[in-house]
Amino acid sequence: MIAGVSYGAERRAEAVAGPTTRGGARRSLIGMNSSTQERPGRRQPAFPPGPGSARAADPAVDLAADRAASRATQAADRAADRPAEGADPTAIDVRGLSKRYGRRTVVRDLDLRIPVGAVAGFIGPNGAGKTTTLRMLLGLVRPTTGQGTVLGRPLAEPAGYLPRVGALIESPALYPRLSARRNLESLALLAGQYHPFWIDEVLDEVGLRDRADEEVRSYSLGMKQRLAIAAALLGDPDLLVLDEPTNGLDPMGIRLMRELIRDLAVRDGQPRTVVVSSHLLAEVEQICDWIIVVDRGELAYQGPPEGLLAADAARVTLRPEHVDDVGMLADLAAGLGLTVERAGDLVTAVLPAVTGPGAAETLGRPTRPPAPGGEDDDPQHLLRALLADLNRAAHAHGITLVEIAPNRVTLEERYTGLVARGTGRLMGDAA
Amino acid sequence: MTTQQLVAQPLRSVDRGLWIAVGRSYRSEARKLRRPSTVVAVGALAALSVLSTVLTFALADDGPPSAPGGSDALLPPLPALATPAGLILGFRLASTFTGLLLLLLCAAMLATEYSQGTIRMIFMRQPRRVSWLAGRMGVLLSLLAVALVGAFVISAATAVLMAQIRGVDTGQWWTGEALRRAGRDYLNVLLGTTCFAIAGTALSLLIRSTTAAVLVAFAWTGPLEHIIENAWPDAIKYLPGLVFANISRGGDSIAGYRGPLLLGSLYAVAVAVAALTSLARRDVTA
Repeated sequence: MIAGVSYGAERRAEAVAGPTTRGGARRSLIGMNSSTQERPGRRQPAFPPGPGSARAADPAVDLAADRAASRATQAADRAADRPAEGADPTAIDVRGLSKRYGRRTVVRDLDLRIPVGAVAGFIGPNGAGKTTTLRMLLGLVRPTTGQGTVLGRPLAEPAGYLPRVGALIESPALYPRLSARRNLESLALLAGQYHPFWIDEVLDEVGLRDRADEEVRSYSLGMKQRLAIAAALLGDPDLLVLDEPTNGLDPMGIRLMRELIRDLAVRDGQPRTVVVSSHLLAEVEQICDWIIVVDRGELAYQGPPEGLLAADAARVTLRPEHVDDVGMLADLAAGLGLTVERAGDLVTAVLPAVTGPGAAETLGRPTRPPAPGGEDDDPQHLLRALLADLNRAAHAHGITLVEIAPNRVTLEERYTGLVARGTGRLMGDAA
Repeated sequence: MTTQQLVAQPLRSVDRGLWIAVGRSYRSEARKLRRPSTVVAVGALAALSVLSTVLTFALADDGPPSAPGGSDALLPPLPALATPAGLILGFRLASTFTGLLLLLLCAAMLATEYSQGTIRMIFMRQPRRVSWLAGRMGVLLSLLAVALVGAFVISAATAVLMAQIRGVDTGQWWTGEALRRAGRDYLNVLLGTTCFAIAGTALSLLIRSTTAAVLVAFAWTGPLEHIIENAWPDAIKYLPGLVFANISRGGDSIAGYRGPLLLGSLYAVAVAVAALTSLARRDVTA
């Protein structure tokens, strides 16, 4: 169940910006103007400006107040466009989404629910239907079947929600003979979101302000990618859809992009949902608190990454100080309901699948009455508790452990297994 | 406008109507025109008019003015240049080529939006596709109108210069009738080239490939229609490219003017409806 779950906002806030950013001063996109840098809590741009940045040449006029007023106006407008408070807290809630081209079904009966404020990783092999799904959500492709809402507005009426959506789909598509600034201006004007401040803001955000007046054809692929992301950031969207945003970026660019995505999700203390389609599973694992796996056009999994990772058995390696204790240690582990394997001086305990409501009972742990979404149902918490039980039991029997190492599966291993099996939905689907 | 006024503008992020979307599209597309290639295109249009005017005067012979102000002859005789139509005869004779140039440009420009993928950026920002196209066409036709005024003026100036060189009497060029005729000719050229622009845009929306759209436009209005016309002279009354060109020239003795105007308008409306239907309903997979 996802309703009412506050996905990862606090965790991200701590990881990215520190606790002071939560509900604190607005962390603007600007961050580059000399006048605005003085504000506490302002963030630095994700991509640093190059030498000779135009920042230093900014006019002395302090535009901060104007920008704040501009932002306030925009915020009021956006608030008026949002569904009423207390509405369904899902950014994307679509059901039965399908797309057929002739007799070929590209996306089949997809149910997607992404909570507001989530950073959702959208993964799947090539041809799985990721981009087609995103195109359907963005009004570029007409679904064959399916209904639902995006940002509280009907999927069938993209004009209702697209002004609050920023997107980068596939490769950056820009006018090569226009400057970066002109590209952004034309897009902003098209959406009725033009303001010179905002162009500078998003250019600052991606570190391209100093080269904003050069023709885009002179840009490297990575710079084009950053400019396309700047275009997606225009209008300060509530939902950001990024299809392979790290394509063409160097390792530093990838790291900065990761920080930018994390930051976008927590900025201003307002819920912003980010959907990232990527093949870089390590990236997804690091930044996403919601995972959607599609395979051959069908939903294979959606929910928090912990659910996906814990759905398979995890292995824990135990090594006692004395080899003689291996047998007793194995018995202790077996007594806790674990499957045990012995090899030399090692005991390997295979944990059962743990995910979702009722996981505590699955692990045989005495529990308090569980609260929905509480830590009793948190697979990570349960695993840690079980490891503590093992350690405690060993200690109680005079066994000193020199090694207790959980060998958790990675997202990549889990994903590979899932897609290779091609069996469709997981038992641990948390949605 | 001051910064404060800018800030005070209501910046609605959600469209309130189709007309607002048309206005936004117009401003956006106008912003994109601020580039060197626009100057080159407008310059080419002016150069074409100048070239046509120079050739009209330079190659005119001393034959009788059999059809004063008419447009049947490709190169009118020298006496015809002294009639009230002489001032902008070169401009009018260039209109067919102007139309073809515009057809190819429009076919290429919009198809390039698909091949570059920029069309998806556009539709994600402005999902009201028909409104977007209306704004875009509005900009294009505005630019065309201005560019044709420029070409008109430059052509007239060139005609004055060439008249002095060829010893053409320009006494009838500045009469009220001559100026009315000039205004009418300008509107005919604008109308004809607008039809070409609509056809080119429709072609690109239906084909969605720059190369294919340009090839089809060129093949149809270039060799194909003229081969058919050579075999069947009445084709000038019916084939779209020839009909549009006829409108630009203000009609001729074979097809007249009203027939081509009516048929040309019907062609333009038909291809516009087909293009808009395609634009609104087809998936964007670019």
